[in-house]
Amino acid sequence: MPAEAIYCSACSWPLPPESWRQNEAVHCPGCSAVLRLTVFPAVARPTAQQTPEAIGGAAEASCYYHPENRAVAPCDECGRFLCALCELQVDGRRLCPGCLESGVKGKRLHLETERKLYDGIALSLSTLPVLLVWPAFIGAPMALYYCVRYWRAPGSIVPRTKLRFYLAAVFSLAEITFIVFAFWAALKVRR
Amino acid sequence: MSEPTYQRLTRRSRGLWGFTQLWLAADHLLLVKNTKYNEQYQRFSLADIQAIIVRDGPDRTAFQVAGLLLALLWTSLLLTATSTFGKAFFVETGIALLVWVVVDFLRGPRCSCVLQTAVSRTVLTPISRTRQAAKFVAAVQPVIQAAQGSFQVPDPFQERVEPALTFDSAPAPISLFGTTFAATDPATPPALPDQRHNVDWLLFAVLVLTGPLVWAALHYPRQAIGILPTTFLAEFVLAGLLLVQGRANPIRPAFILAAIAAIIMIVDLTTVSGVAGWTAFSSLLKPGEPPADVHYSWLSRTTALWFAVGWRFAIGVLGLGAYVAEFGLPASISRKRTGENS
Repeated sequence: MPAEAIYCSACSWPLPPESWRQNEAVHCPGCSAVLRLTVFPAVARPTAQQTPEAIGGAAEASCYYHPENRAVAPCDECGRFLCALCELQVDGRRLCPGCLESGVKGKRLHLETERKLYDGIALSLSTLPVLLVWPAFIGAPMALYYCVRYWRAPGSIVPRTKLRFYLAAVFSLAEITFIVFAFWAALKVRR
Repeated sequence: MSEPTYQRLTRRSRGLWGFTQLWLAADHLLLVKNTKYNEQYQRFSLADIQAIIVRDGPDRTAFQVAGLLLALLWTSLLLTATSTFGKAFFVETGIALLVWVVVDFLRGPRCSCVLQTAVSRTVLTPISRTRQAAKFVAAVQPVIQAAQGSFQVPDPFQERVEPALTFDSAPAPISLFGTTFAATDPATPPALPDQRHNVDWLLFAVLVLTGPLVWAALHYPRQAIGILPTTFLAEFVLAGLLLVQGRANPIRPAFILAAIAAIIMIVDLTTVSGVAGWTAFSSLLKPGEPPADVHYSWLSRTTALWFAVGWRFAIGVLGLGAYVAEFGLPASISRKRTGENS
């Protein structure tokens, strides 16, 4: 996608800069769709093309990953020298590819793209099996297990209460109590 | 490392298996796709956002009118029902359908919102209405400008692109697959979308339609009294909408007629057809009891019937005439008649 281009969201026709009037209705020249554009300076910023410089002499520091390239900055995590190609800006810090990978895996960097919602799983396990009665014998203990095991596990990135965990715990405990009572009553009647 | 604090930008846009939502952090936008047991995150750095493109959706007035008429017709099916359950079924489902149409109408026109960066164009699914999009843009624009600086659109590009885009004469039409399309001159400002209020003619058309329905409900109370709540609700909502939308220009004939309709509506509901039909309608909801007749308090039966029909029909016809005189035919009808290629 070239810089300095904004495309119609319906037909991908490039919209001429004259039509980039902020928040005004404009017609796409390609499909006549009515568009309202909000344009920001980043559209005029040239696409970053980092080209590393070759090392000049023995007095200059070289990149840890590319010894033939001149180092421009150290990694903020491990201190290794990095060339322009290896320097990665993440969360306001300069990182090398190795630290980036280990940081993402160790979840020290906020680059996660996915999270499991254990509270939702626990709540479903405590409620949905009840609809078919017998699966609750398995669902309720599993829901209780999920509540205990993942109570402190990181939930959603965005604000979310623990209400689902509380409800799942209450429902599953109630179901387990009912199941135990039903067994006890059945045994008593048989005797 | 502590997690960034997020501020909610949009409500949850719910689907069958979850929802999507937009959040704002100090340096990025977060698009959350929730599938009940899992959440997927897409981040857009504020410094990288090039543009937000909001595209107006197609005019859905025809669908909304069809939905409204369907709700009224569905409710009128109680004429065919003989049991109390059947009547209650058609009344309740008719009102539910009407509420759905009205909520869709109240949420405003549809749109799609796309966020463009240097490497991606992403549809922001939580934003599906024009009003919602305007709020979203108003919320994020200052934050993105703070991250990138302000931007005067034509200036940085005028010198470079103006020669290439200058038209000496009208651009030639484009021929594609045998169809000729008129090319749009980007130098001339495009026409703004139609500013007419569709709710104007919708109210007056509904009044013309509900006149006979109210008459039928009062004349055949044992069969058709259940139509009354749906018709009254439709009239009230549309009149209220027209008064709210048109308050900026209260001297328009359509607005004046809507105001008169609202006053007569209150009079009609509180003294004539509403009160008259209430006993009969409430008896419909009591299973096991024989349905009651319409009780006329201070007007004779004939006068009450003609009043209920007459004012609706008169204001409906006058309003439609005033609308056509002011704007011409409604947008969807005139577009079909002229065969506009949009």
